[in-house]
Amino acid sequence: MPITSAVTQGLIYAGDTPLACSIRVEQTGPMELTLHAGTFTTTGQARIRDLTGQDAASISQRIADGLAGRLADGKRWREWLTARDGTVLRSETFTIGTQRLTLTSDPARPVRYAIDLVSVNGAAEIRVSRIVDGRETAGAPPPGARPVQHPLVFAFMLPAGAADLAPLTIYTLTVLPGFPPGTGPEDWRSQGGVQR
Amino acid sequence: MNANILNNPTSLISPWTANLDADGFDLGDLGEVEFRDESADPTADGRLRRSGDELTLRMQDARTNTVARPWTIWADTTGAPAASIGIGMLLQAESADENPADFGALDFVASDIGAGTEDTSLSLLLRVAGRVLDEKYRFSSTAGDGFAALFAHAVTADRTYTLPDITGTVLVGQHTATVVTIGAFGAGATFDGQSVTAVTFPVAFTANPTITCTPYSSNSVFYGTALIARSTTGFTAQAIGVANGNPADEELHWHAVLG
Repeated sequence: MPITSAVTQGLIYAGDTPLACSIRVEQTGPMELTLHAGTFTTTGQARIRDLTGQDAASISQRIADGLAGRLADGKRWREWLTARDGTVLRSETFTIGTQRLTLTSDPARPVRYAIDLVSVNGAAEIRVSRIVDGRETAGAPPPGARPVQHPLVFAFMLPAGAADLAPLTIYTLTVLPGFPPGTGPEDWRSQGGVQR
Repeated sequence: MNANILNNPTSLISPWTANLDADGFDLGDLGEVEFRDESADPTADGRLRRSGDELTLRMQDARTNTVARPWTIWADTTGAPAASIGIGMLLQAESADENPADFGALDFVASDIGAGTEDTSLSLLLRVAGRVLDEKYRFSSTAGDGFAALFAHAVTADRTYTLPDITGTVLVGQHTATVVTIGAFGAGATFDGQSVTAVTFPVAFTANPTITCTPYSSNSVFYGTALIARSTTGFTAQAIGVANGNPADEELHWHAVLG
């Protein structure tokens, strides 16, 4: 199965964040990937607080001012952090239309591909990275482009002379809501793994 | 004479020749108060007395294991309190050319003055190279009730702990890591200074975590990692020091924790 997600390779639970992704990746031709229209919502960065003892009116005002938000459990709220320059690190949502991408292999060398969502002046764009012998061959990203938190298609190697993506395993981003079954926020403040 | 007595009651007692019980009488519009050196501590609860070069306030109660706060300084405002309002204490001594000379200050400052959401921090201000007092250390916390960070040491000689001028989090203690075994990635690829493929956390963090990344090589070929780019959803590590053509089946042990 060429298009898939796995733990630590694209499959992620949103936890206490607004993270969400409805952009679906599909192989629609021998060397073609289609990114179906959808949205990507970033996590933002926030401090999670209990509602117990908090002033409801103050919290409501912060929410109205765009500085905070309530969590789904109704017992906690999130207060967005601010960067050093004062920017509020709230969650953002980006929308893309359906895009078809044709990948090309190199006759003699492997090619490293990755597909990211980038923001250019607030608008979402798809950015394809194609690296051969350590050099980017897909051209420079547009001025002002900044990556939107995480790849949509994780880096994979296209063997020399490849003419079909089907034999490859390509990991894509899949976001699931909440936490893994049977777990909660305190179970995931520390995470680790072994990558091979 | 009557007017003089009403305006200046102490004129009846001039000079004082015995202890005076003011019985709650308020003294206002004082100019300066001088304490003579009694060379002894206060004799009873609620008394202020000078002994040598120390002025001592004594407050006595019946507590056994709680902390008393005999001295309170209250600085409110006639304006509307806002973030950055604070209360502090200035300490002065004398230098070669300044008397008094500011030596240090402790300020307690609020970053949040909202009802029921007040957040305060402690700022320690020091002087460097003759410049005016400036904030050099700040202590703050988002911990819940009853939790404190305890700083302790057992040094046997003077130790200087120097923090580097970089952003980051000091990671202390041990955390239980969940080992997740996955299939090989980047089949056919070599590290050799290349970025390894991005790692996604099992669960998104609410803020950027601190990550440690340790490479493990099964064939004893040394390499390391640098330039860990991280976000709330994952990270990418740059492998370094690997000979060209090294196989892609090396391991990367990683651990992320929310500070």
